[in-house]
Amino acid sequence: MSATETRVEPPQTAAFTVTLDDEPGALARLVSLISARGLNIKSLCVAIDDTTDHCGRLTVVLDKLDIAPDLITAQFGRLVPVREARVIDHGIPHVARELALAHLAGGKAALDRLKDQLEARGGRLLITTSSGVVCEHRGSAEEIDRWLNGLKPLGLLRFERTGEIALATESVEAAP
Amino acid sequence: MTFQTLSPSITSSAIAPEKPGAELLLDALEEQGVESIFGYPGGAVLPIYDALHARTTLRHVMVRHEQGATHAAEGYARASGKVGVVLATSGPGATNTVTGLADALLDSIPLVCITGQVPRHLIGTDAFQECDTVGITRSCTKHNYLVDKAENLPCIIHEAFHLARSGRPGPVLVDIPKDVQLESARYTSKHSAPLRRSSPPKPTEKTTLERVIALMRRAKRPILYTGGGIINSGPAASEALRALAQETGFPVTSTLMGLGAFPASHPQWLGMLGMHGSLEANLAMHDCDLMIAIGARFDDRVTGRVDGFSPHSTKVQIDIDPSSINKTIRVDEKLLGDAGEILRDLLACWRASETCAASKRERMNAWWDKIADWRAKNSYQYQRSGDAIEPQLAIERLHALTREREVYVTTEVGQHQMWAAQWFGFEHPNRWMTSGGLGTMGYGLPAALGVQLAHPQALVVDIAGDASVQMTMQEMSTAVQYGLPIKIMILNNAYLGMVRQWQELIHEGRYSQCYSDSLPDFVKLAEAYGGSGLQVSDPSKLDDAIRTMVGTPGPFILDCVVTQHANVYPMIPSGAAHNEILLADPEPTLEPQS
Ligand SMILES: Cc1ncc(C[n+]2csc(CCOP(=O)(O)OP(=O)(O)O)c2C)c(N)n1
Repeated sequence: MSATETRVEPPQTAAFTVTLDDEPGALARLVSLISARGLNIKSLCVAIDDTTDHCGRLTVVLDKLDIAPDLITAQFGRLVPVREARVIDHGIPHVARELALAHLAGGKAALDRLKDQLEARGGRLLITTSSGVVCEHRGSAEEIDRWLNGLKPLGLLRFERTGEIALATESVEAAP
Repeated sequence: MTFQTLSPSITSSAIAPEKPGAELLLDALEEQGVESIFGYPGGAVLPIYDALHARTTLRHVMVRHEQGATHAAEGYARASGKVGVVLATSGPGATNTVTGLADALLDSIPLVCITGQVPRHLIGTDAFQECDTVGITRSCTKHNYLVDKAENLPCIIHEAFHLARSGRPGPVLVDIPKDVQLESARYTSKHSAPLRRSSPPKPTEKTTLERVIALMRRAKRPILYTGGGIINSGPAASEALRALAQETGFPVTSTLMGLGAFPASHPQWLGMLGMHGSLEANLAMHDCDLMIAIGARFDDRVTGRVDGFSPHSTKVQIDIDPSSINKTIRVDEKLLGDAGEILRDLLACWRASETCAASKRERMNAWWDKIADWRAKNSYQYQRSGDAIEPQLAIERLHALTREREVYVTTEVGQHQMWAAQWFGFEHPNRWMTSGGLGTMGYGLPAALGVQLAHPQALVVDIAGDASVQMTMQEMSTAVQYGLPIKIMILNNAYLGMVRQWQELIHEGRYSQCYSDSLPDFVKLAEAYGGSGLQVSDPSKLDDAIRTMVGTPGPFILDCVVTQHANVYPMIPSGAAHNEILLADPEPTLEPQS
């Protein structure tokens, strides 16, 4: 094998799912490990889950990644609060979803027109406000990109997006 | 967030009386088998020092700078195989430990560092001597904690010791707010404390072992590339390595950190590898067909340019740390676990595997002939002038005159460190303490204190440079106070010698800021601290001077004035491949071998 395989060319994007102990500084540890290696976080989505064994679950997406992703999971595995870390990249069967919320401007008159346009674009109307409507959309990060771009000419006031969460649909070798 | 994961599983503590956090801390240290602490007091740890005052079971060594405490604890840990313990106050006390923590992280030295913190209600208010200790030390520790309440303190201490010594060892820091040190709670013993990372690694699969043995049986040009992981695994791992080498007849090289695991006097020993390693070790690494890395992590000072690193070999890596595998060099077979255990497994498997014709030792004859040719170049050689002390000569003589004794060597960082690694032949593990990963000038003197505390009867020598030794020189005062008779042999070239060497070889002789125009009188300095010293510059007086140093009770500085412009050879310039090695002779750079 050649030595260069620890690097990937061209740089790619990979998602990692990590479960970690719920303790102070756990997330900071993970984030500082990523930044200390000069890697770029594209998105980070995290929640504490109390339904099973009380831990933090997160998906972090790294882009411009020029290091083999399995080396990153091994690095995550060094962190004491990390219970499990796995890479989810193109080779692994998975589902990935992101949620976006958008506030669109428009008076009562424009509303019906907007509704139609929204539905055509796959969004869902949530509430009507004094200045317009709030709608949501779920999809892959690329779909959210397209949806938001499509909303711009319709009077997009403000939006927020969660970043992707990913779920492997086949069991894979996990670290540590 | 809470310390959910750390609350005690069994309430065996129900009968234990309540005690202040400071007492709980000391109880936990005692239960962990701690005998010595290296520390320095201050406002935020006064309750701990108050509790220490009454304990005769714990020996506290008051250093002169907290960096000294961390290196002393490292020396103690490496020489004794126990966890080194540091105690420092908040703010500047904590920040002064950072260098030592980073050093211990890179060299996998088990430390537990206890720091004081401002009381909980003042955290985050820019209080006096407040700093974000857990934030600052997050990336230079294996793990760290800010203790939220006294009740959790014993469990945290037990887990800290467990983490420091298990897996790939390293430093763990516990930051304790002053009011937590005063708050009362019940003790939790180590048997009741829940520990993370306590499941033992899976034993290596038999089929993997058999595949590796098959490679070993077939290899015509094998090499064992050993590292500090063998030392960390304990003396039994060195025993297993010796047995495996003996039975396979494979040549052995080692990193700077692994010296002593395999005896330097053994005919299969090739010497250290890497930037200043021997010609035979580096060329054998380059040309081998089978490389077995054992507790060694393919550091850049070892691999040089990665795409030129050992291009034709099958690589097997044995390591306890999954993140060290494939990190810079992809390997073909990995064996995850303790180096000693895996070496014993391999040995058993080797013995059980039947010997076929291909496995006869003769298959390696050509390889050993090649190694003999490289060895004949005598790559560590240097010119002896007879009228000045060459630095290599000083170490050769130190080794020759102390080899009958139980001797421990620490070093600072620079040329003297490399010459010590080249010329002081180590026969046993745990006798060599050096800052390999971080390369910390100022490591050796305080590390020697820790080694001496662990081995009061042994001879402990810090082989030092005139510049490095001044970084932590004040610990001479500690040596005198605690009667630790360390010997400091300064190879005094008046230069930041390693910097001068790079400036000569890589920056066309522009000697920018590498000369010490005014050095202290080291002999007077030793005397000022209450020790003694001697200066020597005449090679004919060198042996007597070394004998005087070794024979004088108490801390001693031998100021050994050496030739000023010697370079360390061989040298693989950083970023070059192993076969682009520079030798001392004006010999041309070697052509690629294969
Ligand atoms: C704390 C620290 N600062 C700077 C360096 C960079 N450095 C490496 S070797 C060296 C010179 C060491 O000089 P000396 O201790 O006299 O040893 P010599 O090389 O002359 O044997 C320097 C400055 C270092 N390793 N550590």
